[in-house]
This record gives sequence, C-alpha cells and structure tokens, in this order.
Amino acid sequence: MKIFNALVLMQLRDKFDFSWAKTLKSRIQKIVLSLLKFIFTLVVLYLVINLSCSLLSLYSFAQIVDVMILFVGLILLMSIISCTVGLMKNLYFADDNKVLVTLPVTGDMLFFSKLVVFYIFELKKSLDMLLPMILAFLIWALQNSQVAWPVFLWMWFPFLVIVGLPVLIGSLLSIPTMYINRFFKKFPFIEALSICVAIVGGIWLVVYLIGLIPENIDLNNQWAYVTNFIRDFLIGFKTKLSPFAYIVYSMTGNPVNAIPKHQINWFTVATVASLVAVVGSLIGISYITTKPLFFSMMTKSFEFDKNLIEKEMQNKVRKPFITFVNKDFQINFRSVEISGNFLAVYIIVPILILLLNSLFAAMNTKLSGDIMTYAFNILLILLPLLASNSMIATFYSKEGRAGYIKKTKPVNPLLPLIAKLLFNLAFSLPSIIITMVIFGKFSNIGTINVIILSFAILFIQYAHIFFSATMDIMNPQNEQYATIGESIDNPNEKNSTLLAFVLSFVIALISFGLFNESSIRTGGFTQASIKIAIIGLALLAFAFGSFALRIKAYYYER
Amino acid sequence: MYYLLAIGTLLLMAGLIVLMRFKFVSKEKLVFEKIITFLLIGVFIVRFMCYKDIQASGNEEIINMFTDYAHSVSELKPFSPFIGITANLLMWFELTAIIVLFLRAFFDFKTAKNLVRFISFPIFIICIIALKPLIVMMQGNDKLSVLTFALPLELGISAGLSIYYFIKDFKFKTTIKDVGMMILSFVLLNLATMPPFMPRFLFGNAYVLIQIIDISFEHRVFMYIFIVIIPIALYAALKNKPREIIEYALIAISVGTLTGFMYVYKYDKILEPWSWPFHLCNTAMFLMPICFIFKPKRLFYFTYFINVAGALFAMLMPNYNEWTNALSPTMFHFWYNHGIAFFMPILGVALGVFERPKIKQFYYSMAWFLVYFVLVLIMNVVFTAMGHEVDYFFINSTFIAEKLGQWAENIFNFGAVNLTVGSLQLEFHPLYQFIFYVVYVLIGVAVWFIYELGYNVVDSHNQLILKLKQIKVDQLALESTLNGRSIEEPMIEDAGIRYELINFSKKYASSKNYAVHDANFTVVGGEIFGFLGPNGAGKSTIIKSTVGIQPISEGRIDICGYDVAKQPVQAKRLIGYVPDHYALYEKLSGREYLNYIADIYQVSKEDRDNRLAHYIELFQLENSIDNKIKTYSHGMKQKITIMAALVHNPKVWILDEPLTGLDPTSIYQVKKCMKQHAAEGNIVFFSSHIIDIVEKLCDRIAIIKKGQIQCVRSVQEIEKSGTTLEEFYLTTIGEKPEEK
Repeated sequence: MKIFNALVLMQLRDKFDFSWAKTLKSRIQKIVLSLLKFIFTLVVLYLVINLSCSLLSLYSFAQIVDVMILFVGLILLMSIISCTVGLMKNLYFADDNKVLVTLPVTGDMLFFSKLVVFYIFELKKSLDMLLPMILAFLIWALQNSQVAWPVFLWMWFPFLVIVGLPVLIGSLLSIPTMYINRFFKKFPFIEALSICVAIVGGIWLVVYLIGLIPENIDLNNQWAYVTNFIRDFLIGFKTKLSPFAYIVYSMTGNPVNAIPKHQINWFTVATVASLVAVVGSLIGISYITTKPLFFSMMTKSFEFDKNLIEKEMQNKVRKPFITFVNKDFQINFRSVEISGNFLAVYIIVPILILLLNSLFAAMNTKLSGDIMTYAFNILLILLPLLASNSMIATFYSKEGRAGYIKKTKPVNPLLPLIAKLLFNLAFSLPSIIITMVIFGKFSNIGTINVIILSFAILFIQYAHIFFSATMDIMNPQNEQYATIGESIDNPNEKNSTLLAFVLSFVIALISFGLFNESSIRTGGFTQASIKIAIIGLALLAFAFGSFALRIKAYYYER
Repeated sequence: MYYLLAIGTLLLMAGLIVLMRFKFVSKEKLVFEKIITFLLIGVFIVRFMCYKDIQASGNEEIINMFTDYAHSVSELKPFSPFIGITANLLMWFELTAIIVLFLRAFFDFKTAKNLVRFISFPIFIICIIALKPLIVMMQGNDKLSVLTFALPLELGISAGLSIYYFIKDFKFKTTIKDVGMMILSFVLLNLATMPPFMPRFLFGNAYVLIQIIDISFEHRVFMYIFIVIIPIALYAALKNKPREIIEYALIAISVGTLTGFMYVYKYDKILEPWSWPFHLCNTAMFLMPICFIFKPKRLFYFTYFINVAGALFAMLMPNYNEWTNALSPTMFHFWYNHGIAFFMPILGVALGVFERPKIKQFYYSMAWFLVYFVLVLIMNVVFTAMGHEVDYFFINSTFIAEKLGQWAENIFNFGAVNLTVGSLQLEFHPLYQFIFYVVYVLIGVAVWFIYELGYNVVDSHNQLILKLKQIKVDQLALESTLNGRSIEEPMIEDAGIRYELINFSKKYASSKNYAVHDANFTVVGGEIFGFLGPNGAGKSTIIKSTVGIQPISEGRIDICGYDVAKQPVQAKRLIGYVPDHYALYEKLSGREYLNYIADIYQVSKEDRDNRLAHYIELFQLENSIDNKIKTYSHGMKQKITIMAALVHNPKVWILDEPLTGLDPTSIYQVKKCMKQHAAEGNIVFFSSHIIDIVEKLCDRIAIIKKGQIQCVRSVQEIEKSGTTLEEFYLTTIGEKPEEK
C-alpha cells in the first residue's frame, strides 16, 4: 500500500501544482481562497436556482429534485466525455508511461494508480461545479420541504462513489476512442472530413432549430405552456435516463408520498449499495478489458510508424517573420486539438448570436429590454471568444524545449512570439465581423454603432489574447510540457479563463450601464458605443504594451 | 480689544525672540520649537473646538450671505462680498498655514522651511489685519467669546513663531524652482484642509439634477477622483521623494483633512458620546494622523485591512440621499472622510512608511477589529436604550439589510434578544450581528488577497522598469563603445573568429550561490575546444548563457567581437547550437524544420540546397527527411538538430553533449563534421563526458568544477606531461585516479 501511495503521490506531484503547499502562508492562502471560491459558486448557483424557481416559477409544475437529475446528469455526461478523452491520453499515450513501466511495481498497481490519480483529479474538478451545484439544489429543496436535513450528512458517501463513475466509464470508452483516434491519425483526410461533416451538421441543426422559433413569443401568455413543457421534458429525462435519477436519489433519498418528498430509507440504502456494486463491476470490467491494452500501448514505440514518402520536397526560402507565421499555421492546422477548438469557437459564436437574437426578435421587448439584450449579446459574444483564448496561455509553454531553443535564434524575440498569435488574431476577425453583422441585422442600433461595437469587441478579444500570451511568458511551463507532454493543472490557463469571465462580465455590465444612461439622450447610443470602444482600445494598448515591454525585458541576455 | 491682544502677543513673541537670540541661544530651539509650538497647538485646539462654528452648525445666515436671497435682504450682509470672500478664504488658508507651522518644528527640508517663511507668515499677518471679519465669519458677530480671545492669541503666537523661523532660516537660499515647489505644495495642502462648506460658500448650490449616487455619471466622476486619480497622483508625486518629505506630506494631509472633518464636532459634542465619530470610516480620520505621527504598527494594519474596504463600500453606496446637494458640506464631509480612509493606508504601505504586512499583522488587525466591533455594539445598544438613535457601523439597524433585500431584514429580525441592565432595555440582534462580523472578517481576508495580488503586480512592474533601465544603460554603453560605428559592427574591432568569456558569472534567481563564478577563457578560429566537468559543474550554464537561453548575471561573453548581452542578434547569427536535449517541432517534416531554421538565419536558396543535400546524404536521411519529425528515432532527431545548427555555416559551433544516442556511424560522421568545420577556420566548442573522444578530437580543453574554471590546457601539453587526459581530468576535479 505504501508503494501504491508513493506511486499515486508521484504522479499527482507531476500533474498538479503543489507550490502552494510550501509555506504555511501559501497553504492558508490556498485553502481560504478555495473556500471563498467554493462559497461564491455555491451562492451564485443558489441565487440562480432561487431566481428560476421562486421568481420565474420556471419549474412550478415540477419537483426540484427532477431539475437536479437533469443538471447532475448533464454534468456527469460531460465528465464521461472529458474522462474518456483524458484517460485515452493518460493511459495510452502519456509520456510518463516510459518511466512508470521501468519502476519495480506490479502492472496492476500502475494501472490502478493511474485510475486513482484521475479519480482525484475528477474529485478536485467536482469541487468547482458539481458539489456546489448539488449543495445549492439541496439547500433550496430543504427550504421548500422537498428533502430532510439528514441528507446533508448522508450525501457524502454516495457523492464520492458517483464521482468515480465517469472515470470508470471513461476508462472503458477510452478503448474504442483510442482506436478511432489512431484511425484518424492514420487517415488525416477522414479526420478532417469528419470534423467538417460535424460542423456542417451542427450548423444545419442550429439553423433548423432557429426555424422552429415562432415568430411571436409572448412569454406572459405562454408561461403556463412553457412550464408544462419543462415539466414534461424533466419527467421524460428522468424516465428515459433513469440511472441518473437513481444516482441523484442515492444522495437525496427516494421519493415518497409525504413531506419531505424525498426521504432516506431502506430503498435509498439499497440504491447506494447498487451504485457501489455497479462501481465494483466497472472496476472489474475495466481491469479485464483496459489493463491489457494499457500495457500493450505503454510499451509500444511510436517511431517509424509512418510509411516512407517517395516524393522528395523542395527547399523554400521565406522571410524570417513569414517563416514563423508559416510554421505556426502549419503546426496549428496539423494539430486538430488546437485548430479544431479555435475554429469551432469562431464558428459557434455567430451561430449562438443568431440563435439568441432570433429568440429575442420573436419577443416584444421594451426599451429597457432592448438594452438588456444588447448587453447580453456583448456578454455572449465575449464569453466564448475570450474563454477559448485560455489555450493561448499555453502556446509558448507547449513548445517545451523548442521554446527555449527559439531564444538562441538571431531575431527580435517579438517576431516569433507575435507570429504565434497571428492564427488567432486572423481567424477571430471574420468571426467577429460575421457575428456583429448578425447582431446588426436583428438590432436597430444603426450601422455606425454596429461598426463601433465591432471594433470594441475586436479590441477586447485582441487585448485578451495578448494578456493570455503575457501570462505564459511571465510564468512559463515549458519544463512541464517537455517532461510529461501536458500540464493538467496549468495556472496560466486557469488565470486566462478567469480573466475571460471577469472581462466579459465587466464589459457587459459597463455596456449595460452606458446603454442605459444613453437611452435618455439623442445620439447617446453612439456615445456609449464609442466609450466601450475606447475602453477596449485602452485595454488593447495596455495589453500589447505590456506584452512587448515584457518580451523586451525578459528576453534580454542580462 | 482682539486687535490689541493679537498685536500684543506678537510683540511679546518678538521680545522673546530678541531675548533668546542674545541671552539664551542654547535654549532657543527648545523654547520655540518645542514649548511654544506645543503651546500653540493647545491654543489652536481651544480656538478650533471651543466655539460654536456658525458655518458648520448649519446656520444658513453666513453660508447664504452671498446668495441671491441674501442680497435681497440687506441686513444679512455685515460687510461687502469682497471682504466676506477674503475672510472665508483666509480662514481656510490659515488652517493650512498653521499646520505647516506645526510641522516645521519636526521637519527641516527646503519646502517645509519656505512654506513657513513665505506663505505662513504673510497669511498670519493678513489674518491679524482681518481679525474682525474673520471673527464675524466664524461666529456670526464679534461679541466677546472664547473665540475672540483664542483667535488673536493663536495668530499672534503663529506670526511670532514664523518670525523666529524666518530669522533662523534667513541665510537659506531659495531658487525659482523652490518657489514653484512651495506654491504647488501650498495649493495641494489647501485641498486637504478645505473646510467642507467652502465649495457651497464659493459656488452656491449645484444644479439639482447632479446626483452623486447610484453609480451615475457624476457619482463615477467622484469615484474616479477619490479612488483613482488622487491616490495615483499622490503616489506618483511622492514615490521618489526622500522619506522625510513623504512623512511630512502624509501627516499634513491626514491632519489637514482631520481639521476639515472636525468642523461638525465642537466642544458641545464632547459630553455627548453618542455623537462621537465612531463609524468605521470616521475612526480612520483620527487613526491616520495617529499612525503617521506615532507609527503604531498594529493600529495601522487595522485601518489597512478594515477601513480601506469599508470606505470603498461606502463610496460605492453613499449613505446620503438624492436630495443631498452636490456642493453641500455633507457631500464634501462624506467624500473627504471616505477618500482618506480608503487611500491613505494604501499610500502608507505603497510609499514605504509601513512595511508590507505579514500574516501576523493581519491577525492583529482582526483582533483590533473584534475589539472595535464589540465596542460599537455595546455603545449602540446602550446609547439606543438611553434614547439616542445610535447606529455605529450600521449594525444596530436595517440600513444595510434594506439594501440587500427582505431576506437580510428577516435575519436582522430573527431571534432579537432583549436584556435588562438596571433601567436600560438592551436590544441585540445576535444572528445578524454575528453574520455581519463574519462577513466583514471574510472581506478582510479578501482584502488580504487583493493586496497580495497588488504587491505581485507592483513588484513585477518594478522589476520590469529596472530591467528596461538596465537595457537603456547597456545600449548607451554600447553606443559609446562603438563610437559612431553601426550596431551591426562588432564591439571589438578586428576580433576575428573568437569566443571569449570575460569574468563571466551566473547566478540563478532562486539561488544564493553562483552556478558559475568568474569564468575566463578564449577560443580562437580553427580550434576544437573540449569542455569537461562533472554533472552540475556549470558546463551547460555557460553554454546556455552563450547562446542566449539564460541571461548573464555578471561579466561578458563575446562572439567574434560581439557582446552577447548587448548585441544578441548579431552574436547569435554567428553561432550554431546543438542542445543537450533535442527540441524540435514534431509536427513539421525534417525538411520543413531545416528550411524554417535556414529562413531565420537568412540562408540563400543556393547555399541551403547545397548544404542540406550534403548533410542529408552524410547522415543518410534521404528516405525520411520529408516525413514528420514525430516519426523519427532519437538518433534521427539528433541528426536533424546537428544539421539545423550547421545550415548557416556558423563561425562558432557549440555542441552540448552532442553524441548521446547516436549510432557509431553517426558518431563518426559528426566527428568528421567537427574536424571539417574547424579546418575551415571556425570554432568548434563542445562539452562531453566521453573523455576518449575529447582527447582524440580536441586541440585544447577546459575543466570546470563547482562553477569555477579549474584549468585551460592544450591536449598536447597534457600528453607531453606523461599523463592521459582521463588521469589529468580526475586529478583536476579532485578524484584521485586508480593506481595503474
């Protein structure tokens, strides 16, 4: 057991940043900060539930536990997807496999240590969303006599078991995923074609859904229909995907015809026991099916698995800056996880705005409603755009040692570093233009204001790109990428995402305030748009200035 | 009568000055700078506190003296607008003048001296001349009162003390710049001492629609001024000033604003403890001068963690209403108070008067907060039970709860506890008050994190500035060395093909010790130079500093006359580098990667075609050069790295453990390449642990141990001495070779 613990700890230290554990001060800081973050998320989620239940009566004909089943189900489904992809990389393609295989431990230990590490990672991840969400639902349910207070003592054990489910299911699903992945790697054309088909299919689906939106939505009169529809949907979800219902009942207690409506009884104990049995079976199946493959892949050499290319290519001469741009575009296009992610976001944003505005257009809103929709548009454009930039906060570090070697080249360091951002700078531009054209089509704020706001969004997007890049330069993680090929706990990525959320909300809030203020003056909207654009420009100037100055300073050889 | 008293006091002071100057010179400083100064402080406090200030007491008679209404009622105008305005401004400036005079006893720098000599003294004299209008302005008439005695006495002593300083600093020379600084300082100090009624007195009432609430445009302007502009301007103005000036400014500002704040607190309030300024931000007005004058650390950190956050919230949600006029005394009383409570503690740390807090100081601040909370809680319930509406820190009413919503009001009303102590009915709201306390402690914790974040930003910014300054200095030094020559030319002319370390040292940021210390050697064209040393000796550090991966801490590295630190681009053009671990872009093909490197070094099409064809054949990569690098074996990747280092035919070829992982044929080919490259007059510098190869290949070697170069010798010389390189190496690094 001691060896197993050491093995788990070793991998955890490799994948997580434990620098906070060095001093008492940093430990306290980390704990308090995490606690504050947890409480903040819990409060926000509670307020959202309270808003949708008490104020909007969104689920007035349904039970809150049924809503909980839907959201817990969705989160678990997403976890299964992320675990499948993560475990595929972690079990079969991780760089540390080469080291682990040489250690004097049994194969079973290695396999289970990998699963335990992933389970701990999932547990940590669940503190961000799953656990606060469950607690928020339960607090609301307790206030409304739908569950009894002992649920807060009972729920922890089933919760710990539930978190393990996506890991185990993911480990099983990782086998076919790995084969699909290898197939795609072998035939990149089919991979690209599949992505294109998926994108076109997605667009078609959204456009189809937009077509279904009625021309006139009158929420006031149709509210009963809406809530009935929600109830039917929730009941449908609960019935069709009943395992999720039982998963939730294992924490809340089973439904009874009394108050509180969910009570922990022998049936709940049986539900938890079944859950444990399912987990046990999954461990067994996983051990039988996944472990042999894990070993065969672990010891497999990936050298020379490429056929010889008959045709000899020619040497080409390019200017230094062009060659940096060319290299980064080539690498990005050859890395589906990079280009696919970015291009997906750049395609999704306009579709999202189309969908949102189609909904708004069908509603009869007043002036204050219009102002809210404008601010909401800005929020929904910025959120996915900026959040996708978090990957930029890993761009330089991801190069691993090649990133250091770049410093040995006789060029102004700004050139290769800027060239690396050009892919995003270039591709986000058409996305923003199309998005704002769609926004302009639906809103009646005038072409000039749409153009000014487009510039504002563009400036903020570029500013965030430079902020994210600066984070990576100032806190490089090259060693982590060079040794283990990935960084699960990259602080820059997290900070960039956090900044994306803060920036998006703050800019949307400022926009709302300015639009609101502008509504009392003629020409006020243009003034408000110009102010937002100036804020964006100031951010961009600051971000780029800081980026360039820091490169100048930290790439200096003294 | 009051004129007589003022002039008499002044004459008495003049007599005392003459007496001390000629009879008791040694006691002069003690008498004037201590005894008289403290006497003056006492008289000032009596004057300031012990009369009922007509303007601050809400009497509209004086405030509206020059408004349209007052003009229509002639009996409300005791004198002309000119005299009225002048007297009011004098009241304001006298306050600044007297603070400057107090501080002169403790500060001795140029502006402190000039302010007393050229500003305070004339103001006191004008005030003596304008005594009557001043007294009327202050109390509404010139009937006998404490004020009619205290003010002339104060002005007489102040003028006399100014004369003393005038004589003392008589020989002190003043430039035009000093005069400018003095005037600027006086104007800025006046902003601090401005009485809250002054804007309304000077400009009347503001336009009624200007509402400084609800984050409106006007409210935002006030927030920008007090939260951003003033603190940043003060920081920028003071950050590079000597400690004495910083402390002077902070004391003057905190005392000045305290006097403005105290306009509404007069002697009659002393006996009414329920009116004392015990609101959190009010306490800051007293704590700030105390902290900057006496430097009690624990008290300071209380305001640093608690007051700042409270003031910020107050400025975001001011506790006046939409009817409060934008130029009213209430408005300026509020903003001065909360502005000071917000930015003065931050400035105290930012300007280095107080050090950055450690976790211990945070705990102290929380302990102080507990004391404060309990105190105001008791005061609230006791005074409320006595029939006074007291709500210090807003914990005794629903004022905050109402802003948060019904749920908060419910908590306030939940479980109220009534206690009877004597005749008093004390009412507590334990749940609400406990939650209030806990939330504020959490806010304190959040403030700690925000400060930490702020320190990181500031440190990073300061480091950046330092680095940029260093770059500028180096650039100027380089230009001076080049003496008008182009930056593309080497710093040392006619250096030839040469690689030189001059007193090079390297220290890593996280370490106290040098990784390499005072390393010196020179390698010239045509040489193959071997670099030996145990693991961690500093070989890679020297190589990485040469090629630009690590910055240089001290000394210089020259490549063919180019300083690597100051002319990095020019130096790097001449270097080809093979790292100890290959580092390639695995998604590119071998050819794409080599072309990418050739583009960076701007190698012509013809040269790259020839060189690549030659090396592809030499390293037998014909069949794989157009495959992706990720499909290559370790040896193939190493070969690509070597080819990339040679594609521009470098003058200095640096290899760090280049032969690791290569097959015997490849090793032979690399060795051949190295010989060939040196034979063409270039430098080949390589580190290796394989001594046999070094012995056979190198002309000279250097041995490094624990960051110190132990020796630089020619291989021939070592062999002539009858020892092998291996034995020589082991002896040099202190590992005795085994007996043969």
